[in-house]
Order: sequence, then structure tokens, then C-alpha cells
Amino acid sequence: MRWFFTKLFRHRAAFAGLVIIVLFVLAAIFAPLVSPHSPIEQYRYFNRLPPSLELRQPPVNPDGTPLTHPVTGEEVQPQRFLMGTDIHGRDVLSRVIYGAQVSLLVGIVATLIALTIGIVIGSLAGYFGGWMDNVLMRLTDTFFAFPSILLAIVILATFTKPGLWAVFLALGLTGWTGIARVIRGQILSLKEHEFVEAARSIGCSHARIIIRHLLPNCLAPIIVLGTLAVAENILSEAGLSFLGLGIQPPTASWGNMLAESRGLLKEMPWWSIFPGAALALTVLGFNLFGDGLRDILDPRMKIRR
Amino acid sequence: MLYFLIKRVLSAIPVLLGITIITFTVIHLAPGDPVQVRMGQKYDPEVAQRLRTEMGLDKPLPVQYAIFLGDLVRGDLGYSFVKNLPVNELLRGKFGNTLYLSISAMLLAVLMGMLLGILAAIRPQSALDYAVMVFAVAGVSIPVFWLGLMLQLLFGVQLGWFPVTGMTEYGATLAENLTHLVLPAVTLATVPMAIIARITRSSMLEVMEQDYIRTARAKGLGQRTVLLRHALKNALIPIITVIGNMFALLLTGAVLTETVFSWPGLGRAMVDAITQRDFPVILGGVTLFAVTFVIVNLIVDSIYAWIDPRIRYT
Amino acid sequence: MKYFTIIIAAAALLALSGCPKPAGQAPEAKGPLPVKPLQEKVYRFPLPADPPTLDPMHITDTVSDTVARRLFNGLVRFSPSLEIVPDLAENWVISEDGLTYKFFLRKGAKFHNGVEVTAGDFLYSFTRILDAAAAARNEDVPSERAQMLFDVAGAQALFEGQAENVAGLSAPDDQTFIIKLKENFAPFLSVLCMSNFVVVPRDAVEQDWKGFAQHPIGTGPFVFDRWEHDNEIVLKANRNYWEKEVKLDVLVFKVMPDENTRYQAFLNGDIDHTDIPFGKMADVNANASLKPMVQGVTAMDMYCYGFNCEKPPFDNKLVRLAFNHAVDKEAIIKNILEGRGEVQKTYFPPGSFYFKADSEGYPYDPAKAKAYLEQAGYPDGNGLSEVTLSIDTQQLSRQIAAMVQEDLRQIGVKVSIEQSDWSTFLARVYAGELTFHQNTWLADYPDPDNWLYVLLESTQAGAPGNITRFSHTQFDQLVRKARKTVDEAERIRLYGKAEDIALAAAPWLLVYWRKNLTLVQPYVKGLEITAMDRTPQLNNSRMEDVYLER
Repeated sequence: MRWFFTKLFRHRAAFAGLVIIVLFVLAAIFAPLVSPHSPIEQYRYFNRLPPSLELRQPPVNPDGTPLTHPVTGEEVQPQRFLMGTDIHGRDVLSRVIYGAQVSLLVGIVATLIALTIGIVIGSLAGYFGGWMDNVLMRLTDTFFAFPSILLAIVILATFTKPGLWAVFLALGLTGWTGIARVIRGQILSLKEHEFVEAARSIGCSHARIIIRHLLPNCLAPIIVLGTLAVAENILSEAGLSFLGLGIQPPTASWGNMLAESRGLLKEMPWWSIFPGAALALTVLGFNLFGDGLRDILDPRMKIRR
Repeated sequence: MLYFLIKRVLSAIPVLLGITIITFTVIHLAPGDPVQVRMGQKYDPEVAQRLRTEMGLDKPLPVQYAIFLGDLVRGDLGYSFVKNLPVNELLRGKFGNTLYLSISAMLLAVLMGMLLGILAAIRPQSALDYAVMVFAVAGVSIPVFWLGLMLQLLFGVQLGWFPVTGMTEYGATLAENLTHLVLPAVTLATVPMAIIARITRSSMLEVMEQDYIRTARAKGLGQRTVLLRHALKNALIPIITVIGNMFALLLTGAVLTETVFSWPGLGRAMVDAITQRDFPVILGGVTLFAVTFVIVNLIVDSIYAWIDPRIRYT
Repeated sequence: MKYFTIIIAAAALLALSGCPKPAGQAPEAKGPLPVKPLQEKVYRFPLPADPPTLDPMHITDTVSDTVARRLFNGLVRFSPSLEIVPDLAENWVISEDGLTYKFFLRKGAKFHNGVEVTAGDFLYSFTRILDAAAAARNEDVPSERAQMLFDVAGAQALFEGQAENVAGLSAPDDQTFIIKLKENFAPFLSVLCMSNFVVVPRDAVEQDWKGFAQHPIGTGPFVFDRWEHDNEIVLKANRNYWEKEVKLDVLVFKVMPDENTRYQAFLNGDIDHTDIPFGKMADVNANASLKPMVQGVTAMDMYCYGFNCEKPPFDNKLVRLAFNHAVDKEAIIKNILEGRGEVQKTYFPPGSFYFKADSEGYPYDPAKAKAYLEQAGYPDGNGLSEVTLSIDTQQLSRQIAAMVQEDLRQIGVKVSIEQSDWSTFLARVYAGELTFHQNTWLADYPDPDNWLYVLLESTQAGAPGNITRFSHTQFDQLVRKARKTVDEAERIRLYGKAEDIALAAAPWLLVYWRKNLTLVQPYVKGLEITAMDRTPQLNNSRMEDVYLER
């Protein structure tokens, strides 16, 4: 373990990636504490404002008296918006922070689903071989041949009210093929080792062998693939939201912020720069970390997609 | 060789069937009635029933699938629910447009990617090497549609060098039409280019460490000969694997790129068809994709078998 | 060390990639727009989608409609001020009891293939819409508009296959066409102006029924030349047009689904008019050369929300009234629409012979809204469970819904927004599942019947049109009577009373009437945008009057 962490620290890219990931994860977990405003509150009198470090003053009534809120009757207070506001007067910074929650959640859960499916199919195919291998690999090929985004869209279309779980499933069901192939490869080569024969001879069930003996030896590729898959799923979620099919506003997601700001790219660039940068940075972080892990754990391991 | 190819084709058929079955099942699971979409808000149950019969929607599902397969074998992809056109006619042009874009992007990605990868591998640890490695990671981290929007903004709107959307202009010359291709092709090519650059680089590095390269150098062969004749050919196999697998990725990217650039291609048409529950178009489009995918893989496999005769016997 | 450099470089690359040039620059067009020296008399007309069909019997959308209008003529049509004027029927006589319409066709009008138009062709065209069996024989689906002719005597019988032809339609001689209704229907002439009820050449259609949708032949001011799907449709001027000389030579419809593409193309001089994309209105208004190019009027095109009047809590009209007063409609028009709308204060839009101009609608009054809510038994929203607002996937719909949601939150009502694609949306609306949802409508014909009857009469509940399932006996009586009354003044009176009932009962949350603001190139003359138009389709504008003057 110590060996691992030393190597990790020395590999600058992976370390940087990890730092980025941790930053965003912390931001996501502590969002309510860290973000200056609520992500969905609309400051009607402060909409379409560019970023600024200063406190902004609300407009005043024509006769010079301070503006009061039409419903509560209270005076409208000056506010600060470090990354500006969007068309409804929502704070971009807060939405970017809360957006991390959505992106990370989707990335991780979808990856877990994909990993589960991939590991099950890969192990069954690799371990049992024969017709099961054939059938499962054909199945894998079939899913692999699909452009993932189209399959995801079709799956999403089966839900009347697409919500978080719909997105999890749609992304999870499309991303497992690479994992299945790699696991199968690993199991195939591991299965020839003597300890498997030994385990069989003392009466271990197939399931036990796979779970207790074979899979733990596959941990390295699983972790690497998993990390890289998170990056990919975060990007896919953004793509789906961009097409209008993923997480819906007013919930803040980086993808739907990019979709909403698309028509106003020139007029309100801050509305797309910040979520775009956050998205790219997070994905970069996972990619760097995943690649670094691959280098550290076994550079010779053919964990290619 | 021929036997090898035939075997490959045969094993591709279940994949094709699988894809169509999955698509068919999933779209019928989806709520939403194509007849209602077609009639809009002037719905009349009586007329709807007639429409349903005509569109073949009142038959049981397996029968509908069988009809689809039967038509498919004859090359008939059915009739669109929404557009009153045979699917063949509807998709033919769009499929061509997507191919036009995808092939251009692929060529760009392969040529530039390999070039960058080779250059980086020749001079490891140099500034160029770092730049390529940066590009390799950054390229797969940027969202495709985001890149498209930025390119549109910079080169299209601000600088005005290239048109921003669409594929052709009424009455424009061929050269003018080609300018429409630039931005979308660059956008679409970026991710594959990054992947190819990276795999070329690592594959070349690995090969160049081999003994036979040292032998070639020791023999006094020039750098160029060593590179091209020996190293590259052997490095090609993983590269080609990656290129073959890239096809599905390319189509995914095409959907988003076509949306951003309003390119009249199959990707966008599919998104629309799914929203409109235009079953025949969805099935037809997916089948087209799948067939192309199989053909591309066949070509890739053939190239393999040609390069490395050992493979022919597996 | 080396990896560190990589990180910095990667971050810099990404940051640069995320950095568009700063805003606040001059809008894209500076000074007079470039005029491409293309062919002189070619009009380039943008279409937001590829038309599904050009066969009049299947047209249900505005895109097909606008192209078809250039190719076909019917018995009557609308003038730009939406009065009914002769088209191929020179004049007509309506019997005293209002049941028989006798049309006298002009002589000498020809189809694009040279054949002269007779009443027999009209008989064929109308019968074709009702002849479901003929459609089936030709591997086509029945017309989606068949039910609009069900008031004609014997129409339903043919549609259901119980008769050989339509008893109420006849063509006693080449110039006379007679339609007999089975009961009085005041707006019938308006309905006949729709592009479904035009004349098609019998021989050409019989030769190739299905292909007609791809190669239409009509009598209109333009002749079909070619159609490249998803790219363009080219029409050439009909030099033998019966009505007048067409000033243009070629009319090219360019399919451009993206609004920003259209806008950019307009600024480049590649198309001759365009709608104004979301967010660009400010640019246009600030630009001294663009601003005068804007044309358009408030259209008979509504965007509002509907309540399911059968389901709680919206079965209580106090709740509906509360919602109506809670929403700041002016703010929506200013912020999201940037002025491209007019606050909706009535249930029927201006543009027809009837309009309740003095209505106040439901002014923004949160205090009143709260009071209504309390009266209804939900003080400050307590006791009211979360409401789901269902809308379509358009960007605009989403933004409007966000503001409505916030307004309602201010009075204590929690609203969650749900977007679904059109087909799912329709299915659920018709099934009565949704309680609070988007409700849009564009006039088929500019008659209050198309609104107040079709959308609010109780027998139309559900799929036919009354998706809010509003039901009020007196309202029903009034609109049913107005449907059959021929006297316009009497109809005005009846509809006025009916609308009063609707305003008091608030089955909808009124939001806005769309303004079809369009940018038109300065060299385009003779283009008139009517209240029945959507932009950029401009279905009811008369392209035969348009000419280009550079």
C-alpha cells in the first residue's frame, strides 16, 4: 500500500488528477456550505449580470425610493455574484458548485452500474467459456456496435418522466462493453493458473472461485477502467443534457447550463465559460488519474479499450 | 483468406440481428404513440384507428418485427410514420452526409494523429512530445459539443473565416461548399485524433525498443528507412485495432457535432426520429449504422490478416 | 517536473478553449447588409424543417402549409386583413337556412400541367379527403383532416365505408360546385380557406396518388420544380397564373432547422427574411440598420398553460384564479421574449371580427393571488401538495416555466417542472393524466369557433381539443348556438357572454400571444405578414405579390 502511495506521489500527472478530483468531490459534498447563494433562487432584479468582485446595487424605483419585493414587501438587498448571473438571475458560481454534485453523482453511479454488468458478463464468459462465452461475447459485440449516445437516447425515451435514475440506467447500460471484454481477458488468462484447479479440487463452487479468487486479481484493471469510465460518463451526461434529454433545469447540471446558454454565447459568455471549464477540468482530472493509475499499477498490462 | 472473410461475415449476422431486436424492443417499450404525434392536437379516434391500421401498428409485436426483417432482406427499410416517404429515400441523403463528414474527420484524425504520434515517438521527452501528450489527454477531456461551439464562435463569428452552419449553399461553388466542412470535421476529428496520436506514440515507442530495430540501425540503415519500413509496419496493428473500434465513437460524436453545426446528417435525424417515435426511421437508421459498422470491422480485420498472416488461421 | 509542465499546458489549453472573445462588441452587422449579387428575381425563403408532405390532404403543420399555399388554390381564401375573399370561386351563394353553399368557379384557370380546372376536380378533391377506402387502395393513410368535413351531409358515411360517395357534394356543371351541410356551421367558409381544401388534378393524382406528395401539381402562383429533402424546395413562377402576374421568377425554400443559422444567413444576405432567435432581440433593436427591417404583428397564436379542471386542486376555480394572478406576465415578455409577445387578457385573440378589447385579463397581483389561495382553503399554500408543470422540450418553454415556477413559489405553491417530448406529452394530455401543462394553439381559421368551441366546449373534452376538460353548461350553450348562428352581430354577443364565463372560471393560466416579428431584407417589397402567420413560415403571406427591388 505504501508502495502505491509513494509511486502515486511521484507520478505528477496522476497526482494532479487526484487533486482535481478531490477538490470537486469536496465542493460537491460541501456545496451547501461553500456556495454563496442557493442554486435555484432567481434574483429577478439582478439578472444577466457579468461576473464581478463587487457588491451590486439593485435598481431603484423611478421616484428614487428603494425597490421592494412585490410579494414579501421587503427591500431588495445588494448582492455579490462572483461568476455573474444567468437569464433568470441565478448565481452561476453556486450553480457550478451544485452542478458538481450532479455530474459526479451521475458519473459514479452510472459507472458502478456499468462495472457491475461488465464484470458479471465478463467473468461468466471468461470462466465458463464454450457456448456461454460465444453468446455473451456476441451480446457484447452487439451493444458495442451501437453508437452509445443513440442507445442512451432510446433508453431514456422509455421513461415517461426522465429523472436521475433514467440517466443512470441509460449511461450504465451503454458503457459496460469495454469492461466486459477486459475482465473476460483477465479471467481467461488467470483461469489457467494452478490455484484455480486446486480450488476446484477441494470443492469450491464456481461462484466462490470467481468472486473470492479470480476477481480480486483483476482489481487493478477494474479500478483503472472504472476511473476512466467516470470521465466518460460525465461527458456523456453533459452531451445528453445538451441535447435536452438529461437532467432538467432548474436543477443545476453543467450540461444543461451549456445547453441553456447556447443561444446567448456572445451576449453572456460567462454563463457557458464557467460550467464548460468545470466540466473539462473534472473530466481531465479523472482521465489523468486513471492514466496515472494504469502506469503505476502495471504499465505492461494491456488495458486498452 | 476468403474462408476467413466468410467466417467473419457469418459471425456478424447475429450481431446485426441483435441490434435490430434490441432497438425494436426498446422503442416499443417507450411510451408515446406515433399516431398521436402525427395527428397533433386535432386528434380523432376514428381517423386514428384507420391510421394505426395503415401504419401496421395494430399487429402483434413479433409479427411487426418479422415484417420488418422480411422487408429488410429485400432492401426495403419501410415507410416513415412522420414524413410520408420511404425510409430509404429519406435516409439515403442524410446517411451520405454523415459519411461525408465522418470519413473526412476520420481521414484527418488518422493522418494528423499518426503524424503527431510518430513525431512524438521519434523525439521522446522533447517539447513536441509533451505537447502531443498534453493534446492526447486534453483531446479526450473536452466535450465535443463544447469544442464545436467554441470553434463556431472563434472562427466563424469573430474571425469570419468559415461558415458556421449547414452543409451547402444554394448556387455555391464546390470550393465554397468545402469550407462548410472544415469546422465540423475538425470538431469531430479531435477526440479520435487524440486517441490515435497517443496509441501511435506508445506503439511506436514500444516497437522502437525492440531488438530488430537496433539491428537495423546497426546495419547502418538511415533513420527514415528504419522508421518507415520496420518500425511503423509493426506498430500498425494496435493502431488499426483502435481505428476499427473508433467507428461507434465517431458516430456518437457525429450526433452532437451535427446538432451544433446543423449538419443535415443521420445522427441528428435519428435524434428527431426518436423524439417523434418514427419507428421505421429509427430501425432503418440503426440498421444502417450497424451494417456500416460491420463492414468497417470486416475491412479492419482484412487489413490485419493481410499484414499478419498468422491471424488468418484463428 | 515534466508532468507538471503537461498539467499546466493542459490547463492552459482548456482555459483558452473555454474563452470566447469578450462580449460587448458591436453586433455582427455593421452598416448596410451585404447584398449578394445572386439571380435577380429569386426569393430565398427559410423553412424551420423539411415538410413532411406536400399532399394537401395530409397537411397538418405550418411548414408544409406554407409551401403548399404557393402551389394550390381553393374555393376561397383570406385577404391579408383576414376577410374571406374569392379564390377559384368567383362568387358564392349561401341558402337561407345556411345549409347549402353554391360556388361559381371562374373560367379558364389551369393546372400546372395545362388541364383546365372544373367543378368535377373540386368534387374529386373533397371526396378524396373523405374516401378512406381509396386511400387504402393506394397504400396511403386516410386524411388527418377528414373530420373537419364531417358536417357535410353524407361525409361520415363515405369515410366509414358505408357509401360510395358523399351525398352532400355535387358538381352539376363544370363551373358550379355545391356543398350541403347536415347542420348549420357558421365558420364553414373560414374552414374552406385552409390549405387542405384546395383543388388537385384528378388525373395526375389517380396516376400516382402517393407520389403526388413529392411532386405536387396545383393551380397556384408557383410551379413545383424539385425537392431535395432536408435541403431545399425549388418552385418556379407560374407564367400562366389565372389571377395575376407573378413578379418573382424563382422561389427557393431553404430548410434551415437552426434559428441561429437562419439569423446568420440573413445577416450574410443568403436568405430574404428570418425570425429572430432567442436572445438576439436586444442586438436587433440596438442596431440602427436592422431595427427598421423588423415586421410583424401579434398573431392568433397562443402560449399559455392549461389546468385539468377535473382533477384537484384545479377543480377549484379559486385555485386557478390564484395562479393566474400570481404570475408576472409582463416580466416574462420582457425577460424571456424580449418583447416578442403581448400579454394575453382574453381567451380569444385579436384579429377576427370578434375581440373582447376591454378585458383586463388577470393582472399581476400577488396579494390577490394569496387571498384567492386562502379562500380556497390553502392559506400561504399550506395543504397544497406539489404541482407538476408539464411542458415540451423547447428552450423557450423551459425558460418561461422557470419564471412561472418562481412566481408561484412566492405565493407558497411548490411547482416542479417536467419536460417531455411531444409524443409522450400528447399521450398523457389526452389520457387526462396531467394536471398543469403547456397549452398552445395556432388558429386554423380566424373564427372564435376555432378557439372557444374547439378548446373549451365540454363535448370536445380530451383528445379532440378541450384538453383542460373545462365544462360549463351555459358556456356550452352559448358557443353551440354561436356556431350555428349566421348573423355576425348576434355571434359577437354570444361569444362575449361566453368569454365572460371563461374569464370568471379561469380554465387556463393566460400568458401571451405570440408576435411574429420577422426581419425582412430592405429590398423585399410587397410582403405582408398577417395575424395567422408563424415566423419564419409566413403561411398566409402572399408571395405572388412580393417583388425584389434593389
